[in-house]
Amino acid sequence: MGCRGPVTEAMIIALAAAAAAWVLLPLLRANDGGPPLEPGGAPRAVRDAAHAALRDFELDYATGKISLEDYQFLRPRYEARANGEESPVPAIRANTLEGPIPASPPNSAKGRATGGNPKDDAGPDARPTPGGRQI
Amino acid sequence: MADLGRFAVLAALVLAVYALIAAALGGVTRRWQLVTSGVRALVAVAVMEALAAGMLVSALAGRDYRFAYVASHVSDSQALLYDITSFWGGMEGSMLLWAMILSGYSLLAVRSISRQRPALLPGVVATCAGVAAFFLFMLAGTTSPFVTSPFPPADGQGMNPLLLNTWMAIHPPTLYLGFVGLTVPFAIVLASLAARSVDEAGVLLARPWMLWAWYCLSMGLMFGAKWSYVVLGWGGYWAWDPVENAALMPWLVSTAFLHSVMIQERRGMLKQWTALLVVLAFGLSIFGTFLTRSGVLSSIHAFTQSSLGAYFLGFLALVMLVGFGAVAWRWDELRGENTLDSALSRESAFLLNNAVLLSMAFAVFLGTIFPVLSEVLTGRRTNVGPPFFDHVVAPLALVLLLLMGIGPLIAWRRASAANLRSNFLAPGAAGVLLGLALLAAGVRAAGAVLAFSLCGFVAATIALEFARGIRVRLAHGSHSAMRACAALVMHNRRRYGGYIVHLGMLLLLVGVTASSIFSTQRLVTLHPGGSVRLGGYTVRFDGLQQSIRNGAEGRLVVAARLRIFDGRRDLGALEARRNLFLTGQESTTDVALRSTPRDDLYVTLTGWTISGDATLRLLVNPLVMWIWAGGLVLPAGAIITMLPERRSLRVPVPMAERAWGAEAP
Repeated sequence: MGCRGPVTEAMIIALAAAAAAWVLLPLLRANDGGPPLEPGGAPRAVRDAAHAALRDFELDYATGKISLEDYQFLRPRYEARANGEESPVPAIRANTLEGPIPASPPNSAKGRATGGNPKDDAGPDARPTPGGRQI
Repeated sequence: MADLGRFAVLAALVLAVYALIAAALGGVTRRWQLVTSGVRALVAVAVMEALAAGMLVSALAGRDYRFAYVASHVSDSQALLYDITSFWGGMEGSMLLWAMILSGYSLLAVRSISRQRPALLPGVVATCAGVAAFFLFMLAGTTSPFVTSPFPPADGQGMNPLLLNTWMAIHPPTLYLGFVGLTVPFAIVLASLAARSVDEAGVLLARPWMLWAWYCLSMGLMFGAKWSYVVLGWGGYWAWDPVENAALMPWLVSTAFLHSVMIQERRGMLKQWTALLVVLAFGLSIFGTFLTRSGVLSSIHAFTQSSLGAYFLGFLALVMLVGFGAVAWRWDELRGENTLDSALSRESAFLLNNAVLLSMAFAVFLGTIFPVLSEVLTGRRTNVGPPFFDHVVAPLALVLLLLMGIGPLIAWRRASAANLRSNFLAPGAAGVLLGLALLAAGVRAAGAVLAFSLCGFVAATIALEFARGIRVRLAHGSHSAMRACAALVMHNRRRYGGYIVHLGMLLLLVGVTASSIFSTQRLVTLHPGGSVRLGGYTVRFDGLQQSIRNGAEGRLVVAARLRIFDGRRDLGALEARRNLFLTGQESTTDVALRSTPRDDLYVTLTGWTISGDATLRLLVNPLVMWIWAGGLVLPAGAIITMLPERRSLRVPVPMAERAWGAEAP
């Protein structure tokens, strides 16, 4: 290191000075608090995941992989998350399988849509999809 | 130039340490100027590393043999492309590349996190800077690429001839992109735990990074397999080499993460588990780096014996301690919102999938470190070899294959008998019929029949999923099946991209099964004009040819001229060559390869006599092309999965509401 040329030395000094100035400059400013350090609303990644999950959930139902009961039970949670609302966890916890299952509406979706037995969750392809093209 | 390079590395180290301290302090004291200063230090680290890299590339391209690194990896007869790729061909350069990739990722992560969840910024900056500081410390202290010699040689040694190959030129950087990519999810999860921001955001923000790292690891593994197949001349593509295993382990764990994170997204479960997987994947990436650089295990891919092992081991211990400690610290807060409702559910299938993937990773880990373990315990080094891995991993792979078919079709939360019947009857029948057809065709290898039957089952589940989705879209206005299919994939990228990834895995597994079980080979010595039959091919040896390439500094090439026939049909000429390098003791093999979707004819020249006889090793490897096809399909699916989802402008109207409301059809 002792035999380096003056140009190299000058470059090293300039680089070191520039780096120090660049890094230390923010410390001279007053603390404006910056962005909130506490978690705020749901980040985009969460909202995107919630939208994707909701779409996926609808497709699962439309292709017969989710029963009407589970659909009615789980959808509010997906919807709430996709809308950026807090997940209705307590409600869902109260409605576990061991607890009361929400009663089906008088004319169940399956019954109206396919004319089939509302308890039969096997029919995969005949279910109408919500929101038209959003699946 | 060397002075400037050394300064750049040292300055980057100082800046990384500063970034670590400033960001951590800023996070704790809530002084945002300190965090900003830390971010700026990370930018400066990247600039300094780019400067150091520029110096090294300039020395390599200019064949400046004053640099010991250049003299070891470059020679006058080496092509310029390989002069440049020798940047990552040696220990020191590869460490610099590692640090550079990490800086690039760190800056992207800072940009993304500061927009989405600034609370995590101090933790992310501190973690990335801490990891960067370790690598820069190694670069500045023990593996500097800027060591110069007072008496430079007139010519360099050049790279190992086995590495002078296009696949090997791209294999290491792709793997590094994957290995280093695992740092960011680790940083995000650690930052979430440190900031007590233990909602699902931490893991969900980590997911795209994990997916990218997984994609790069997949590609890196495929490139490595291709290199092994076409360059090494042993007829295979995977040898359970410690360094191959080092890349496979984080791949398996990140695959487990990508499945378990779906349960977290859907059901708010497994937060603790996904956080542990992120830490484990990162730890295994450091373990892989330790294996490659410590010299503790011998491998064709590894760098030479070095003193780096102890440093890496210490760093690995620190990472594991901090990572697992942080998860343990927030264990209660990471509890899930829901519990498993039924053993017959998609959640259970995914959990089992995770258990199998982790078991595979553990088996690979155990087999890889067994030589060291046995030496420590008994004083004698014992290798377990490929049979151990084949016997342990193959059954687990079959279970995984079965779950690959079950997972997408089974219902979330709980599956009813009707659900199981309607979803699994047709694919199950397809699998069974395929198995019966194979038995009828005379296939007697039980493992192959089972594997192909399961592949048939999984392929049918994927086809069923596409068919049902297309039908739903057609019912909702798509004009053609093709359009419906394209729209289905583009509107549900993660799901259908995932199915395409599964399809790629299927192709790969079919190829691996067939080429592992049904490969045939012969070792023969032929006179000119003599021929040999193998697997439906007739190979005629037409004589030897000798030539010198690249002048006096180059190599002696001995080629066996071959003519291939399929029955009476002439399939053309091939050449199996051996390259004997005049400047060293090395020799390489150029394989005579005829590749078709049905099988590969693979011929290597293993010896010859003065009288012109040639000893040839011939293999017929069935369905190897399917492996490479899988290697194309798999990343295509991964890319679709990585594309950002188009957000719906509104939340879809609930199904039930529409159905029973006044507007119901």
